[in-house]
Amino acid sequence: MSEIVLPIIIGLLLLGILFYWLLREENSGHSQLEYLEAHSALTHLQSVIVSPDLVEKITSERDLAFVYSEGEPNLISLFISERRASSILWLRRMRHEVKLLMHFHVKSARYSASLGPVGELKLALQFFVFNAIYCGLFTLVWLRGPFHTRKFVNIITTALGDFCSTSHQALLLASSGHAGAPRESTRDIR
Amino acid sequence: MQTVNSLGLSQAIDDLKKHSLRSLSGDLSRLIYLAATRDYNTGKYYHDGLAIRFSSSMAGQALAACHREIFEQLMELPLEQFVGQLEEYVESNSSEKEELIKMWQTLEPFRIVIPNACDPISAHLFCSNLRIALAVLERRAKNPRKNQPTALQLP
Repeated sequence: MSEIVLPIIIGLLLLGILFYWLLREENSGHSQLEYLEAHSALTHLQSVIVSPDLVEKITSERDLAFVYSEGEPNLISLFISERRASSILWLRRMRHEVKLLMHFHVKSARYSASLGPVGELKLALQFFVFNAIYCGLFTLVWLRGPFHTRKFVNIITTALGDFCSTSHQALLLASSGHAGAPRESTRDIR
Repeated sequence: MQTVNSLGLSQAIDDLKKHSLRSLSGDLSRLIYLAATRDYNTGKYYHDGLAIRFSSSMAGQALAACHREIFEQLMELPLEQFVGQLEEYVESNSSEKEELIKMWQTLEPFRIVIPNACDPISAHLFCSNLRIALAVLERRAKNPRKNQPTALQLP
């Protein structure tokens, strides 16, 4: 009798672990909170981060000319270091929001195929392009300050615009699974 | 009901602009005045006069709306005009000019004049502009003869 007790206990334990894994799998799709976070990250990227006014304020050559007109070298270095700090903050916020969105898409893709392989590939490629430009621009800003980087800034905002547009479509597809999510017309990007 | 509320709010904003804000010189003074009506602990705005004419809730909303509006107006300014705003505030203040500049550079009290829910980049840019403006005024105060600046060449 005692010979079968141990295998029964081990069997029950294994069954328990199996049930635990199954339950975890069911709960590991993205939650409504994650969806809302991703939605707010996208809105922030589109309305604040890529806003031409904000970019213009940070890289304003008019402000640079004003500081040079004051003729004080210490003031010029203060101005350049302040603008460098603002640009780095701008870039870091941008990357933070993009990473948050990408994390959401990766998690969504594991549990649903709604975006389709072409959509997923497009998003991954846009994310890769964004990261490459981000690294280049970050190094340039860190070394030379934000001025005279207008071309790079335009390139990164265009890359970000493409990523946001694909992301928006992916979020619309994901929103069909959430009762509280805003309903908009869904156009498949496949 | 919502129309009545928004009508009341726009009347409260007009009232605030006509009475309390008009007498202040420059948008920076107005911003500091509005920030001072906000409780640091709760983030709520209080104005007794406005609350008597409207309601405390309406007064709070009007103060918050004007605070945001004036902050945005200041953020739109090019640096040269921003320096002008700070200069106007310093001139209108009864404190010693150099002492005020020194204290502002040390304590950075301007950090608390930023409206609630302002995005971090705008908040950073505002503080950054103030630090630069203070450095400009400090230079001008130390070298009054150099107030007609001798421009350096742009790189």
